[in-house]
Amino acid sequence: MRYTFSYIIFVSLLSLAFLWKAPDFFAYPDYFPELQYNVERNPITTEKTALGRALFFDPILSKDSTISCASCHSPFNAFAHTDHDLSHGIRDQIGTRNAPAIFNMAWKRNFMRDGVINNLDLLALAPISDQKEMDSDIDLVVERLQESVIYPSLFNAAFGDSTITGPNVLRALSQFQLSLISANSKYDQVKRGEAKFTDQEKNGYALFQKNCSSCHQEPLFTNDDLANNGLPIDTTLNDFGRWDMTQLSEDSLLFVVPSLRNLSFTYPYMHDGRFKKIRQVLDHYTDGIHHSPTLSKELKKPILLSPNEKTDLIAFLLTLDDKSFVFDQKHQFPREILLQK
Amino acid sequence: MRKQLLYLCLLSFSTLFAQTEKELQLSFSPTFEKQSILILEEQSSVYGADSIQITALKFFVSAIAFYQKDQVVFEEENSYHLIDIEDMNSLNIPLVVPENLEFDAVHFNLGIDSLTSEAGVFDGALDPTNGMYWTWQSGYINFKLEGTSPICPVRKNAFQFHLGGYRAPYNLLQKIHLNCINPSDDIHINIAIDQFLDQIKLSDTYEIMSPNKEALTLAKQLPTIFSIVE
Repeated sequence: MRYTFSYIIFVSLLSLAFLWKAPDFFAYPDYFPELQYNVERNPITTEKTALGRALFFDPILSKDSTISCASCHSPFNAFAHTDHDLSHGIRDQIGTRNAPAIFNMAWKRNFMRDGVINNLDLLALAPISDQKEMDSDIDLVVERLQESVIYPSLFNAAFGDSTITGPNVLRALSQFQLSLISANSKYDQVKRGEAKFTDQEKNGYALFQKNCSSCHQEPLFTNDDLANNGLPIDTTLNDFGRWDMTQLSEDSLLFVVPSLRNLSFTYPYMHDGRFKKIRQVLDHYTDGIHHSPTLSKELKKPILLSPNEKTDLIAFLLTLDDKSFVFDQKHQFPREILLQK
Repeated sequence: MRKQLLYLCLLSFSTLFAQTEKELQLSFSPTFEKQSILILEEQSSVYGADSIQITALKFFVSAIAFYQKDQVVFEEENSYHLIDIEDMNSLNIPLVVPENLEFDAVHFNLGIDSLTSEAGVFDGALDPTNGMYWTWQSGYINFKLEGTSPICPVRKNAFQFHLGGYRAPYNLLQKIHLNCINPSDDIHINIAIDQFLDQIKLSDTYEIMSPNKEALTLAKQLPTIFSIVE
C-alpha cells in the first residue's frame, strides 16, 4: 500500500517534470544543439530573468555608479560595443580588448575573448572587479543592493529570499544573459522554410560552407573553440590571447572563435577591434594571414576568394543579422523597474 | 488496523535504538615551530628568524574519506569545507560517521576538483564571492597564505601565496592521505606552516598568485606539512 502511494507520487512528479516548459523567452529552434549551460542548477524563471535584466542595466554594479554591463554591451549592438575598437570602462579608462557580443550564451563553454572563464555564472565577477571596467567588488555590490529600495523585493520574488547573496546576484545575471537568444535572422527563416535566399546569398552560403564553416559552425556560427586566426600582433598591445593567462606556448595567440551572427551590429571586429568592415576581415583571411606555430590548421592553406565572391559571401553573412533580436523590447533598459528608484 | 499500529510502534522503536551514528571531529591546528598560530585583527605573533607574521591562512578541504586497510570505509557526502584561521569554528569539521567505524587512515583533498570547478556558481563554502575564487579566470584558490617579513623586498614587506587552479598542466589540487596509528575519536591535524615557508626564499619569492610552474612546485610541498597529532 505504502509503496503504491509513493509510486503514484513518484510518477506524478516525473510527469510534472516533463510538463515543465521553459518560459517563452527561452524558446529556441530545434536545430540548435544541446545546451551547454546546466539549467537544472538554475532553472529559468520570469522573475530571475527580470531581476537579471535590472542588474544588467543598473550602474549600481560599478564603484562610482556610472557604468552598467550595458555600457559596453548595448542591446542595439547585439550586446557588443560598437564604434570602439577597445572598450572603455569606469572613468573612461581604455581596456585592451573589444567587448564581445552577448547572445546565445546557453551554448557557450568558453567565455571572454581568451576563454579563461569556464561558466556563465562566474563571468560577471570579472568585469565587476576589473579596475578598468567596474572597479567594484561583489561584496560591495551585495551591500548596495541590500540597501536599495527595489532590490530586496526583486530578490525575494526571484529566489524566495530578500537577503541578497553574491551567488544569487550571479545566478540572476546568468538568467538575463541566457534569455538573449538570437535565432530569427533571415538564415533562420530560410532554415524554417519561411523565407528564401537570393541567388547571391545562395552563392555566398556555398562559399561560406567551403571556406569558413569548420570554425564558424552552423547554426551558432561558432564552434566556441580557441584558435589562432593569423592576425599579426599589434605591438601597441602585445596581446597573446590565452597565453597571457596560461604562459603555455601552445596557447600563444589563441582567442575564442566568435559567432558570425549579427555582424552588422557588432563592428568593429576581432579581439582588438582592428577591422571596421566585414570586407577587411575577408581580406585578412585571403591575403593577411600571419604564419606562426599555433596558426589554425584550416588557415595553413590559403583561402582564395575573388572580389565578387567576397561580395556574395558578405551578402550571405548579412542574412545572419537578427533585427528582431536587437530591437526586442524584452532586452532593453527596464524603465518600469529602474526608473522607480 | 491493530497490526499496522504494532508495525508503526516497532518501526519507531527500531529507529530509537538504532543509534548507529556518532559525531567525530576533524580539527586543524596551524603551527609555526610547534607554536599555534593565532590571527587577531589580521595580525599574528612574530615567528622565526625571518620575523614572519601571518595575516591570512585559508584553504579548502574536500572529499573527506576514511580508509581501513586501503579500502574506503566512509566518505562524507557533499564534502566541501573552507578553513579560515580567523574563523575558529571552521578549524573543526564535525563528521557524522557510523558508530562502529574502524579506520587506519584519513584522506582528503586540499582544494577543489575540476568537475566542481566547472559546474557554475555554488552557495556555502564554494561561494565564489568569499575571496577564494579568482575573478579574472575560472578557478578556486586551494590554499592561501599571506603575511609579512622584513626580508620581502616589496611594499609593506608582504608575501602572498595563492595556490590554486584546476586546468592541466597546472592542476594544483593535492591529495592528502594520513595514517592514524592510534585512531581515537577525534582527529587532530597539525599544519606546519614553518615547514612550508622553509621551502621558499622569501627575499626572492614572495608573490605567487596564478596557476603556473612555480605554484605547482610549491603546491606539491603542501601534503608534507600536514600530519596527525597522536
